[in-house]
Amino acid sequence: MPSPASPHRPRTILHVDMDAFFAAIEQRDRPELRGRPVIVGADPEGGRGRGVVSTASYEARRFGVGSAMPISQAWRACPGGVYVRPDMERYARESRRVMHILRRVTDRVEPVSIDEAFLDVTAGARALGPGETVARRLKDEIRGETGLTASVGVATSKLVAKVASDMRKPDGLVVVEPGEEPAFLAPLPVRRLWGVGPRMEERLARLGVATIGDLAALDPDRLERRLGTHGHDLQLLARGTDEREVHADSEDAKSIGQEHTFGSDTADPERLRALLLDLADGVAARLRAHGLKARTITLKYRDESFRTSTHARTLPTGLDSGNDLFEVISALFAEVHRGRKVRLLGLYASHFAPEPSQLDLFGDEGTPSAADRVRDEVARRFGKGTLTRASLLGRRERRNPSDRPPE
Amino acid sequence: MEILVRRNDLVKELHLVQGIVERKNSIPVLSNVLVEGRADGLRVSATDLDVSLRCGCGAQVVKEGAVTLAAKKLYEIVRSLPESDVRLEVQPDAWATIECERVTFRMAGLPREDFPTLPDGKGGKELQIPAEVLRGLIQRTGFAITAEDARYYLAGALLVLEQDQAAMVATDGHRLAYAKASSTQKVTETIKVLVPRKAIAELGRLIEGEETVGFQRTEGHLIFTAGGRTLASKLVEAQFPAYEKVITVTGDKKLTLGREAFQSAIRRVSLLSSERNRAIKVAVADGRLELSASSPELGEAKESLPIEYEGEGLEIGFNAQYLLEFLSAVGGEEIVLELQDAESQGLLRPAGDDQENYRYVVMPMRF
Repeated sequence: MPSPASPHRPRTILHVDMDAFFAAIEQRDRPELRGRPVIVGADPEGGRGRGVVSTASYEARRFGVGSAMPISQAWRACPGGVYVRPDMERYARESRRVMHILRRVTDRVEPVSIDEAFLDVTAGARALGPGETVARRLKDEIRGETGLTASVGVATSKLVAKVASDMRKPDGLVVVEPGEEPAFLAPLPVRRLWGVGPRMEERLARLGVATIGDLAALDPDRLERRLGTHGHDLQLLARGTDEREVHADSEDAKSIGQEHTFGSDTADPERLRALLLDLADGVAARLRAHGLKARTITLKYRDESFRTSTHARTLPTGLDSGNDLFEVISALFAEVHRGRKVRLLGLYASHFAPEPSQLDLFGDEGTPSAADRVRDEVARRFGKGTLTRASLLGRRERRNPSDRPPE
Repeated sequence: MEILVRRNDLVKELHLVQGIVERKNSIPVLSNVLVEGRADGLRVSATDLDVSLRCGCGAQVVKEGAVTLAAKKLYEIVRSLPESDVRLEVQPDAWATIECERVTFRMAGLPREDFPTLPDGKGGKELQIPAEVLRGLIQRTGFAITAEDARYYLAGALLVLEQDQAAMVATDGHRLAYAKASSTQKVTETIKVLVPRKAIAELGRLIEGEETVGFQRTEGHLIFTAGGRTLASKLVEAQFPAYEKVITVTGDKKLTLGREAFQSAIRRVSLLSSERNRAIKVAVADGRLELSASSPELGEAKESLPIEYEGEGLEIGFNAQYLLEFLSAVGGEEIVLELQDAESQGLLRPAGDDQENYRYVVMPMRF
């Protein structure tokens, strides 16, 4: 799956962070714990325990108890707290439920840990609305379906989204609009940046850097002399520049796609249309072969000057027919193409959201359209390409096997 | 050929045969109706080679003869004429002149020799079925006949005739409607015939206002007669699915619902179901039935109905259209919905129907 990032459009990244996840699950399931300081972690053994705190409820945090604190220290800080052994199986189950809710919005979900994940919802902007709308929806659905709260940060990069989600915990929602990243980050301590631990914080302090704003404003040459290339990278982050992509985990998020590079760049509408049709048929056949219906269709478009952009559309229902895919990809193409010469076109189908499927009374299986069934059967018996559309006769581009990206 | 016929009579007969004539025909003459002037009046016939209809009306026949004319165009022409007598005259070269008051049309026809011979079932033994019975069966099951021809054996309704009752079953593979009525027929053994969708639709129109319907099965056809009209349908040799078991499976969750309330709730909630699959969720809980639908692009809808139910809860998905079609057909005040689990069939029936007079089985949608 190519990145839906485009040089013309800022990305919309969400960071969803469950609030005091383990403790919140315990409080949800055991009403008597609500409102009380709950500390999930190792056995305190009356203050002699050697383990650490996994999660402290917000009530416990008021006593100064925090994650990763030695349990003995927590015991001293909050002797009246309720100490609970973690039930990881149960937390993992809740985590799966939450991740499932996130994946209903997009398949570009990158779980960072059991209780947090990044989402890239750039591609779904048309269907889903702006990032804030998606964030509210997710918060509501998580609360409605699991009874737990999440804090969400919305920004154009992973870094800023993560910092934002932490700003108003619990049950927070912080949106950083495109362009406002430097101002948003500036007053925060440098510690909030990824890659800044206590040692780095100390080294920066010696340079007179306390806040992210200080770091952003530092002379780049001086920074690089003192901290090497790492300093350069840190400064980019401090200025709100973070190009890292949301990496959807391969197991649950897949896309099926094909792309083709023209032997020579072309603006011939017939050739372009024929290629789109061919890509649509090819991808649709593979979707059907996998028994999948895709809800997001992405066009990858590279023009003669090597400018590459991707444009996606998310639909209310999944598609698996060549005609349907062609209709969508043509519409996307029409929005993008300005008569330039085209070097490459690609079609990616993703977001295999569970489509409600009608069950059969007499055990027959799902029924793709008659024409598609015949196509698949002919291809199976006589080979791919035996049966093609009349409009593609003599027009199929010679396809390079390497044009098929790895799935 | 030359006849005089009343415009309204002709419109009625031409209207009846429109449903038989296919829009697109590879054989040109099948787009035509056969119009015959005979000693006993006017006869109009149409066929698609599988289903054919022969009807007619009184006319003053000046000169006998026959011609075939474009079915749709002829109907449009005659319908446009003033309410008066129509004179139809046909030349040996198959050109027809249609005159009515000061209007004249000339239409090129095709000779009758090109038109297929239609089965008429003359001389066979006919059973008589009360039209009322047949109408009720069609009304309660016809909508469940599959609309796609993917599975040929489903593209019709099964008519079951026994000595003391008549039944009809239709299914599209996702839902099944079964209706039964007491009716006395002179049959020695149970007759089970598959009546194609088109014939069912035509039959429904044909028996309007009639008392009884004649039925016989010949070598290759099913033949229905009513009011002097003959509907013939090619016998379809296809195995109809085993429906008997399907209609007797019941669920352990039995909910009695007001038909209209249930119907209106589904109509409302399904406004926000996906256009493509019309999926709605039905959630059963103590004292409450909640319907909901959502579409990522449109939004969500929810409605709850109070019910008298205590027991295990259940959440199940259905195609709203399937439920609505039954609710329109069933009539009456209350219906019973029986459910087992989210992946098993739901059964709908009129409340108080212990005789299995009407059963509707719907498979759920998996979310």
